Parts: sequence; C-alpha cells; structure tokens
Amino acid sequence: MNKNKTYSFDGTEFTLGFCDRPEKYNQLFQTIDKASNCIPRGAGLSYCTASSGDGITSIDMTKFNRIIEFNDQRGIIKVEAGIKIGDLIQFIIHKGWNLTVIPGYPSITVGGCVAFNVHGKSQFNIGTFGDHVKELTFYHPKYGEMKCSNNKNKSFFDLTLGGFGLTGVILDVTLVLSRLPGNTIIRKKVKCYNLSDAVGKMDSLKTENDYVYSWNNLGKTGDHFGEGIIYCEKFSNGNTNGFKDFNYLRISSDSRRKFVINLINGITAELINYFYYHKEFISGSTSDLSIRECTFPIYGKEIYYFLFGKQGLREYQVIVPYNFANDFFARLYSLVKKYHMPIALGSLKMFRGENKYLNFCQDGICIAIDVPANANSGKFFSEIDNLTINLNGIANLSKDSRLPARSVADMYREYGKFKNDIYEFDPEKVFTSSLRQRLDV
Amino acid sequence: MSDFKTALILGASSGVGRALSETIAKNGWDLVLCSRGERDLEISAANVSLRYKINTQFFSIDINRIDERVKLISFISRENKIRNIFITIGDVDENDNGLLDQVTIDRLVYSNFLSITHFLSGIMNSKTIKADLNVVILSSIAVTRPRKNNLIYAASKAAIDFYCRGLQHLFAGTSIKILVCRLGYIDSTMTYGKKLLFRPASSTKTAEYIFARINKSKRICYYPVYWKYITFLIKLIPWGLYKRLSF
Repeated sequence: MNKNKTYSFDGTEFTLGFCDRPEKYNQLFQTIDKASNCIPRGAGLSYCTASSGDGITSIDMTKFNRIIEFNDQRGIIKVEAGIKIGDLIQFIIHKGWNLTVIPGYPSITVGGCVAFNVHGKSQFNIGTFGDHVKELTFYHPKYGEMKCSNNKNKSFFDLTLGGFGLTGVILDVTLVLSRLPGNTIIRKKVKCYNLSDAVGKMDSLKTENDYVYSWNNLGKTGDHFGEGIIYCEKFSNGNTNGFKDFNYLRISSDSRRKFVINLINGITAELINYFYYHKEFISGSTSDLSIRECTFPIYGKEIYYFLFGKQGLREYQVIVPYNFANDFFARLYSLVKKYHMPIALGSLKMFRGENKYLNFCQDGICIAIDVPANANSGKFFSEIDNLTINLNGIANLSKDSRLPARSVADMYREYGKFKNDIYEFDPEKVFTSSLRQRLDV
Repeated sequence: MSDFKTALILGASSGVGRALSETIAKNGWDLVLCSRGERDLEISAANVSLRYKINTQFFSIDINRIDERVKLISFISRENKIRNIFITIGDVDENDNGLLDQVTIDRLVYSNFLSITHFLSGIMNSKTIKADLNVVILSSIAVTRPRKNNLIYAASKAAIDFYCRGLQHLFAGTSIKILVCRLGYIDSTMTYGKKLLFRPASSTKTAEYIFARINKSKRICYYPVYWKYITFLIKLIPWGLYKRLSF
C-alpha cells in the first residue's frame, strides 16, 4: 500500500497514511486484521480528518454499497454501510418511502451518518440519524462481527452511534423509513430581522411544518445582525415531478482544493449575502418544489465550497440552550466586529434531545457559521469555544478540524464517559484516527 | 441481441464483473452470478434483484477446482437459456516478476488461463449449446508486449487471449461469438491509491462499453479506447529503447 495525503474537507489539515478499498468481505477482514491501526472511510466529507491519520490505514467502504433487504410493507431496509444517501433515496422514494433524517449532501454514506449520528434540516421534529437505526453490524478483530441494536448489545450500539467509527467497521445498517407524505414540498419564506427574531419565529413555526431552518446574514450590523430568511417546508401533493433520478456532482476534499484562490473576503461575502437575500425574495415567498430540490440544499451549489480555494474554510456549528441564545448572539456579534470576520454563511436550526457521549444533540438553537480559513479565523473560533463553554453549548465535532480536547471536555458532560467506555471497548486502539488523537479519547 | 436475455458472469463479486452485473440488470436481463465469495455473491444478487426486479441466481464456485467447474458446465447445459457468458476473472500477485514460487505460478496460470480454457472447452462441447452463444472474455493490454512486471499474469492473459482468438477462427460463420476485451487501467482494488501514468477508467463505464458490444461483429475491443493506439505504438518501439523502459 502506498502512503497518501488525505485532506479534511475544510482543507485546513492533512494526514499521511495508507489507504485501501476492499471490494469483498474476505479482503475487508484481511485488511483490518493486517493493519495495526485503521479507520473506516465513507465519502470523506467530514470537515476534520475523522477517517484518516498519520500512518493509519483508511479503509474506503464505498464499494460496500448494496441493498441487502427491503420490506416494502413495513418500510424497513437493510443496506451496506458504504451506500450513498442519494443512491438509497433514489431507490426508496419510488416506492413511497423516505429517509427520515437526511444530511446535506447525497454522496455521504450511511456508515458516515451512523458514525457521526448526523442531523438533517429538522432535528427538532425528527431527531438524529441514530434514532431511526433499528440494528447495525460492525466488525472489530477482537469481537468479530457484532450485531447490535437498542435491544441487543445496547452498550455497543450506543457507543457506535456517533462513535466516529472507533468501535470498528460498520458493515450493515437496518433503517426504519418513513412514509413519503407527498410528491411536492411547499416552501414558504418568512423574513426575519435579526437572530433573536429568527428564533422567535422559528419557535412558533416549528410544529406546523416538516422542516424549519433559516439563512442569516451575519455581515449585517446592529439590530440587523442575522437578518435573513426562515424556510418553512411542508410535504404536499402537487404538480412537480417528485424525485427524478439524478447524477449528483461528486465533491470531495481533493476536488474542493482544485480552485486555488480564495475569493471570500469582506467585500465578496457581503455581496454574496446581499444577492442571495434579494434573489430569494424576488423568486417569491411561496413555491412548490420537487423533493429533489429540497432534499439536498447544497446539491447544485457546490461552487460555494470551491470559492474558499486551497486555503480552505472553517465552519463552526454550535447548539446553545434556548435561554442563553440571545446572550450568545450578542457576544458573537462583538466577536465578529472584533475580528472583522467575513462570514459567508450563517444558518439556524432548532434542536431537542438529550446529549449522550459526543453526539451533537441537546435542547437549544443550532447556529452554523462559515468563514475562510486564515490566521484570524483560528483565534475567532477559539473565542467562540470559550463563549460556547460559558453558555453550556456544544460544538459539532464533525464540522471542526481544530477544536482542542480540553474544550471538548468542557463542552460535553459525557466526554470522560466516552473516553472511558471507548478505551474499555478497545484498549489497543485498533481503530483510530487523527480526530481520535486530537480529542484524546 | 440474442433472444436469450440471461447472462452468466464468472468473477461477479468485484471489479468489472460486479459492475457488469449492475449494467446487465439495469437492462432487464436475468443473471447468474458466479465467484468464490458466497457472502459477496448473495448480497450482490439481492441488490440487483431488489433494484432492477430481475431473476438472479448465484453460485459460489472456485473455477480452479475441477468438480465445481464440471458442476457449473452441467448447470449451463441444463439451463438452456444461458447464452451470454462474461468471464471477468483476473488474478494477480503483487510480487509477480516472473520468478515466483511454483504454487503462485500455478495459481496465476490456472486462474487466468487453464481453468478458463477448460471451462470454455466444456461449454463448447456441450450438446445442448450449439448456437446463439456470446462469450466475452476480459483480456489485458499487458498482452501487447512482454515486460518485466506482472509477467506470469501477462503470459497467462496472452495465452487466454490467443486461445479465444483461435476459438473465433474455429466458430467463424456460426452464431457463436467470442469477444476479447483488452482492458487498460481500470479503477479497481489493484489500482486504488496508486499513482499511474493514466487515470483508471471507472468499472461502471467499462461494463457499459462491454455490454454495448455484445452480439456485434467486433472480435477485439480496447477500453479505454485510446489504449488501442498506445499498444500499437508500444509494439513499434525498437528493442534497444524498449529494454530501457520501466513500466
């Protein structure tokens, strides 16, 4: 095996490790058994190097992408972990079913969704990906093939959901699907004047819509900080074409870096936000959209990530308890002013649930911020770390390539428990990654 | 196209063989999948059946074993509908410099040449199969000119390439068609993560190209197509220069 440079999706870090892409089960088990340290890899779209590490063998699982069983009556599907979400949706949607939790891009694999217990556009209403996993099988040389669920080997199940692939290679996942309520999505746009206004309006809209999220302009100043649009989406039966099969563009950490120059700065970020805001209102406040247009908001807009160029971007995604939200927004505003950060994207989602291990889930408002990766952005994010810790928030580990272990320990109350449980499970650390090393778990 | 829309794929659990199973299923043909890995085959069969609503059978078979080969030949003879056979087996050894131990040499020659020859000979001798047979065999651009790398593999592929072209001559003018596909770099476990002179072609595109050539008058095809011209040039390189090349 050759040594390969693997970049995080945000382009800010790389690792020098080995890579292998087995196609058969015996090849897969041989690769794992031979490697002293390894880590499974899906689409490689994590913002951090979660699926690679220096001297570590990354096992590309994308050839394990088959549908194993499908119960059309009950809406239960068993798939290999390397299947892409887009590929899976194309299969089930024509049969009247849908994935309940859908991450942002179609080439993300089911294994990746389990490993980060990802969320979709409406976590408040439907929970995280793991809430819809009925059973899964993983392989670890010490345990062999291990089937686990809420009823069987529950401790392994809980450790694997959002466990960053550290319990072993996920082989297959059985998912509970939801009935597709319609072939069209009606999208309503509601104006919000700042972040606090957005939270208030989203709170009143969240139960009557299937999806509620917002786009916010964090380049605005004063009372207009976070002015933007709330998207309220609801399934319906309309005249659109439903879900047409599509060939989605593959965006990868390597292809993203092909655009050398960073085009995001104070002026361009302001222009992008200005034009986006006005384009959204010119196009009307209500529209009927096909499911395809709504399922993956980033699909077809991949150019956005290329604009950050080779130097990359940094994303901060944080859940702040509702009672601290206004305080967080005010102090975030001061930090944006202090560092003159060009913010290319700001967005809000509503969350609820109990925080477990290092899963990105708790009651609160989720805010995501994209900035170009530069010297200032590191300092800016470090200050947001402190702000998050002070206000009992948690940052999304899959979106952050720099968050230090001590900050994670301060944010996540079960950090110590995760560290302890994962060590007890695999004291030899057979499955490890650059992320594991950084988090010191 | 043949009226018999059932295809048998030998080596169906990975690489171009697996991609062919998807392509053929997409076209609505029924499938018989054969390879060594039972688990992989079972999942692949379930996958194509669920996705494309076709009938699929699978046989876990080691083509190098006489008894298993004989069983498969008699199955094909009995199941009169199988008239499209894709042989996608390819076995390589990463240390293959031509001076391997006897066991490895035997394995490579058996997998890439002898077993396939026995299998094809058995099929062609079957009394029930006398016409309307399409055989596709995956060869390699490695057969163009001998070189120091992958020597036993290339020699075995050259032998099967030669044998199949001989069969084309034997069955000329009949409805038995044999297509030899010489493949260049294909995206597979062999090429994954390696720095190569040319970008490997996707196995899906390769499968689509091969499938589109079934039942056509072509006897030899190259994929990616540019390899036809590269191999032509390689043959023209004078020995004095060729011996200094390292590829």
